[in-house]
Amino acid sequence: MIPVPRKILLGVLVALAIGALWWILPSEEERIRRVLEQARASISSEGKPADGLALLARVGQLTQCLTRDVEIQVDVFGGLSGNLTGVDEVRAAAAGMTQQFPGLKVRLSEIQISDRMPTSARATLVAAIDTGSRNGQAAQEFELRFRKWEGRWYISKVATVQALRAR
Amino acid sequence: MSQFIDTPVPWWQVMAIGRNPRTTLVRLAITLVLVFVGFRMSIQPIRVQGISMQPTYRDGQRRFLNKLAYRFATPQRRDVIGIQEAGKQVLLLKRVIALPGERLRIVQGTVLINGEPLEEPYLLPPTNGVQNPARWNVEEVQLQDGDHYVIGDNRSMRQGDHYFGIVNENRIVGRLMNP
Repeated sequence: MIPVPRKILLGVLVALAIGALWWILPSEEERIRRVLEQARASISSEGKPADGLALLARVGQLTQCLTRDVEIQVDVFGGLSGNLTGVDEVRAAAAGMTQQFPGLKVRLSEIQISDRMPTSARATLVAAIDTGSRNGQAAQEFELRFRKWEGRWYISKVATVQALRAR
Repeated sequence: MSQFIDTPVPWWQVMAIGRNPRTTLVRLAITLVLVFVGFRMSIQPIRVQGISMQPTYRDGQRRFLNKLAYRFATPQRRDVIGIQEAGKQVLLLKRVIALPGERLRIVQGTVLINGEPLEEPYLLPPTNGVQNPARWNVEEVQLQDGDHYVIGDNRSMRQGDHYFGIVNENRIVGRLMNP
C-alpha cells in the first residue's frame, strides 16, 4: 500500500470536518436555499407522475415550506395569472398542477438572498419551467419573502417580477 | 565545453507555429482566454423570438447585444435595447421611445412625447393613410428618473397582446449592435 503523507491526510480530514459542519450547522442563507430546493423538488415531478399517496406526500412536502397565510401572486404576460391565499388554496392548486402536468420540471437559478433579518428575508430567483409538452418551456423571475418561525424558514409570499410596468 | 549549433528553422514552421512552439502555444492560449472573457463581458448573442419587433426584426433572426453601450452613456430615443426579463438569459427586445422626465401618451396609435407627435420611420408604411391600424391608446405617463418607455415596432397587433411599458435602467442589459 502506498503511504499517504500525513499532511494530505490531515487536509482531507479537515475538509471532511468542515463539510460535515456545513451540513449539520448550515448558515441561515443555506437554510433558505434548502427550503427553496424542497419546494422545487415537490413541484417538479421530473417525469415521475404522482397519484394517490405519492401525490399527497409531494403536496405535503410543498406545504411544509409555506406559512399558513402564504400569498402567491402570479401574473405572467400572455400566460398564467391569479392569486392564491393560504396554504389550503396552494395545496389544492399544487395537486391539480401535478396531475395536469405529469412531466413538469422546474429548475431554479440565479438565486439571490437579500434583506436578511433575524426573522425575515427576501429572495429573487429565476424559475425555468418545462411542462413536458411542446412549447411548454418558460422562464420567469420571482420574488419571495421568507419568515422564520421556531428556527425554521418558511415561504410567506411569492410574486412574479415584471420587467415592464404600465405606470 | 558544450557547443550550441543554431540550426535554421524552416520558414513554413516559423509561419505556422513560430520559432518557439511552446511560447506560441502560451500566447495563443492567453489570446483565446482574453478574447473569450472580452466577448462574454461586452457582447451577448441573442435570437429573436416572437413578432413584437416586426418588421424590423423577425422571429428566428440572430443578433448581438453590446453590453457596454450604456456603461458611459444613457439610452437614446429609438435605440433598440435588451431588457432583462428572467435572469441573464431571457431578454426582451424593445425600442426606447421616451426618456426620463418626459411625458408620453399614445392616441389612436400616434405616440406623443410632451404633447408632440413622434416620428417613427421604423414602423410599417401607412396603409390607406393609416399608420397604426390597431389604433393603440395609452393614458399620459410621466417618466421618473431612470425610467424609459419601451415598445415594440409591431403596432399592427392587438394592444392587449403586446408587452410594453416602463422599464427601469437597472434592467437594461445593452443596445442591439447591428440594427
